[in-house]
Amino acid sequence: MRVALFTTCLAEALAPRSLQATVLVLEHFGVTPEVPAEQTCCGQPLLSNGLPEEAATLARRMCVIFRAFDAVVTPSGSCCAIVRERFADLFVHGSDDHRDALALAARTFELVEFLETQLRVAVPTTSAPSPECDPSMTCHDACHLRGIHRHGCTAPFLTAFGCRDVRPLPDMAQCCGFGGMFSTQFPEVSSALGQEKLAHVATTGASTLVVSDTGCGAHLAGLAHRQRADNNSAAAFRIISPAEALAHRLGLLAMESIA
Amino acid sequence: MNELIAPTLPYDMMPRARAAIADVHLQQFVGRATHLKDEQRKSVFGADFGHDDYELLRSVAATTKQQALDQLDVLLEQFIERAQAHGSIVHAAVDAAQACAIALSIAAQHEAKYAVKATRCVKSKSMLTEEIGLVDALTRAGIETVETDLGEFILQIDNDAPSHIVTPMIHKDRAAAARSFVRVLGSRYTEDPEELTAIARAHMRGLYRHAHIGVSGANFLLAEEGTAVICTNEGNFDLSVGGPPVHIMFVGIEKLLRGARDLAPFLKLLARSGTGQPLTVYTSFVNGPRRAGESNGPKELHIVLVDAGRTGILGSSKRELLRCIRCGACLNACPVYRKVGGHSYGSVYSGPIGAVLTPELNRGAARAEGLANYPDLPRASSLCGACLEACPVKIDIPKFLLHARAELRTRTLSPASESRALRLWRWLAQRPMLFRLAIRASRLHARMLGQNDGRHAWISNAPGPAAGWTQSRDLGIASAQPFRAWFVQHAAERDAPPKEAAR
Amino acid sequence: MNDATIRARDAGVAALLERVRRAVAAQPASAMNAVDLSIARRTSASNSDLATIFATRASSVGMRVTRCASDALHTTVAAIMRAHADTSTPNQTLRTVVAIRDASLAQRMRDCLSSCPATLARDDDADGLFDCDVGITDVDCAIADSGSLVISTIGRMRNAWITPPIHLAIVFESQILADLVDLFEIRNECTTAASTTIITGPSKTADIEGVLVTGVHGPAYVEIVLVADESKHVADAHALIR
Ligand code: SF4
Repeated sequence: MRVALFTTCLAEALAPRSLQATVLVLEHFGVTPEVPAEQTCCGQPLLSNGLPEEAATLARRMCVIFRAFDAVVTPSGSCCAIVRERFADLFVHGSDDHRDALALAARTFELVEFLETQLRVAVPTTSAPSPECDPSMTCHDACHLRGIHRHGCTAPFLTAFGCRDVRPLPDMAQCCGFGGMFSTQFPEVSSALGQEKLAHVATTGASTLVVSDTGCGAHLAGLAHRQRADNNSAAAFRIISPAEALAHRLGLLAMESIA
Repeated sequence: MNELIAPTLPYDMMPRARAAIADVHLQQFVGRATHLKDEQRKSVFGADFGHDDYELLRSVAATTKQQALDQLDVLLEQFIERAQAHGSIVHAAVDAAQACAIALSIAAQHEAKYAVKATRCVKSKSMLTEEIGLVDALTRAGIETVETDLGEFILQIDNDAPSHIVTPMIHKDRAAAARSFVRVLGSRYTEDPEELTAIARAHMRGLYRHAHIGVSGANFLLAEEGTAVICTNEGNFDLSVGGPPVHIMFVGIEKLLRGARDLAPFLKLLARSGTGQPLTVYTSFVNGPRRAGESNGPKELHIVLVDAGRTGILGSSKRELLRCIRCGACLNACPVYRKVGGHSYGSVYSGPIGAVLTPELNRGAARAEGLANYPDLPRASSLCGACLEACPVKIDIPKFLLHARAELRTRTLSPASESRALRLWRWLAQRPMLFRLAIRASRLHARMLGQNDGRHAWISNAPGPAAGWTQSRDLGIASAQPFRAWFVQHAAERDAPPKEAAR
Repeated sequence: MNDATIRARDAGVAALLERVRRAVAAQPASAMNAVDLSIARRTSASNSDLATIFATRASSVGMRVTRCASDALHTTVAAIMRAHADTSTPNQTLRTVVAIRDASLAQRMRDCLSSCPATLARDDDADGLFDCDVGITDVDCAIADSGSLVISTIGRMRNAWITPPIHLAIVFESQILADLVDLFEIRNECTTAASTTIITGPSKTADIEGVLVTGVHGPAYVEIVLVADESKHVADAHALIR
């Protein structure tokens, strides 16, 4: 099986560790991912901001770049959902492009989904290499996972995967307020939602927040950093991706300390 | 009409949104109520149908209503014929002005028929009558019109406006209600909801007894039977229609269903989606005026079928929007609605459905006004999809938000600087070398600007397009090695032939 | 209304129909498949104890259900009336309107009231309804699944069940349908009577800060007397439903 890593532009720019973790976890389970060099951006920012035709040119690129692969895996829930849910509608129904988009959609998976539903990986038999590698965590799923019926699946998977202390996040269902360019167009609304999310995270007392999308993670991390700059006593926790949580648990990647 | 739901156009959403976010009370009330209703909806459907059957039921409702819309001409004709056979008088109105004019002309004939001038009207809750500004029109014509739904009544005497389709005074607290009761009804000051309700009840009984005209909307029209179906929890519809000699019902043409045989799924979904009840307390069926020998009920029943932008939607690729049964579930589920409240949408319909419906209903003759007047509405969404998940008739609201954003872009109603930046982005994204170079350059640049804490460079005052980001949050650029560089190294080690073979 | 107004009205309706026709034709019909509405059913007639389901569900939406044997109907109704009279001002009599379609049952109830702290109000005085304390009705049918009462204006004074603060409804077990879906599968008054109301609870609001209050415009109390009817009422009741 040839598997490609769909890196996403945002993760390349902001979350290189999450991509490293994805590679390491896949390799741990016997999959050797390739990273097609040509990939750039899937077009989500264009589609979400009213430029569907422009988005279609990037979607077409994606179809070509990933044509040779049996599966395309990404750590970013939102980008995965765009490929799955919205790509096909960018093209005339019945056209070759449309068929290609549908085919790509059928082969594209978010990492946790891929592990759970495609590889059906087994729970690691060894315990975490050190207690720090299996911290108390709580999990916020990217809203776009709703569209691919994976919303709320990450936390149970982590628990099933042998993560010792995964705590329920109150009101997990509510959006963190990121929303792509929405976060810069309506910053007040966006950050009000983000702050509510952070407050819920703080009530869990978990040391680690797992966020299944790079953008949401960066938004929350940026808010938390600003909060601590303004108020030293604000709760501190690290924000990582599910890929990192898994890589830590398996001892493939060293855990970073909390800032 | 109230400025809150009929603001000066074009409408700028942010001032009200900002005020709402800063309003501690509003945050509390709206946040608590919407979360509660959303939870109730989920748990009731879970308990009563289970996940899979609930999904099926939603599909059934979506399909049934879509099919009704696809043959709306046939159903409408059938309904009109059957309703007339029941003795109802059927009118049609192209727009708000015509709908109000019809009401006024019915009122004008009152004196000739009943030897008394129509001066008092009791009105049962209806979104459409808000939309057409009926209360104002009647009041200006000297007909005192009282909202009988408790929430609407409190808003009316307070010169406030509804901010939610189902729970209109969700933004208001009991103290506000208490003060207006003292001022307008002269009652003693009490904040107890039970006592306030009792005061309103007593007040309204007098109104029901002496009103000349009753006004209402309808939730469903049944084509095969010519029946109007009205759902309330308070019972104000039944009292508004039972007393006065004349009743006028204003109904949007999208309310048609094939017939009673299609109704059950909708009644079950409407109540559960809106308030978590198995059915609304009163589901009333009306087939024309009172019959011979009956001692109460309206002597005349008028049904005003209102277009007001609906045929425009029906004939467009957005027909699906007309499936909406106004349950309010998408509002309760919406993170943005929870933060900014209903009045921020500057329209009768707020929340996700309002954001897509308001521009469509207000397109005007040139089919262009709606979005130009409400350019913020489709943009003020994080596209989280909670609305679609909550919607009992599965309206793909996020999809329509995207469509509206595309129209904003082609009609240059969204900022040109954004369009330029996005097009540059696409240009870069088609050139992988340049694209990566640009990402690396901006990472380097950012790390120089930012404060390094070892793992991230933090920027708190970004220039240009990122300024909106750093207005309320920092931007963290990870110091870790760029992924591609790491991967090249990693792959080389991984794919290196085993040592023995190399030797 | 003169001819010109009528003509203008009909022209308006015709114009609307024309606009709708054009709009319908402007878009292709959706490709959605035919659907099976029976998925909406939760409770089916094969369930042996609809009466218990009905009683439970009606209670859970806030109505009070008292079950009794057919020969205990009088005493049960009288006890409920007395209880309500006692909670009001002492020695008060309850002004009661009887709106019952079944003539013999109506007579039985009027007889019963003479042994209650009650005075009988006329059942054709619309304005007088507002001065009544109790409205006693029978029902067209009841729905087990949602605990609902179905009451039409055929043979009953409209709003007798919603205007007074207390509604006392007499339901025979044989009148209980399993599910709302069943109601629309049989011919019934919903689509023929001038008006029919499905009642699922006392009048309710949560408009003020989400606090639930009953008895807004309609009754705060709905008393259901659920009668086990092996008696002659079985036939009558069935006749009412069919
Ligand atoms: S769009 Fe759907 S969820 Fe929103 S009010 Fe309409 S029917 Fe309810």
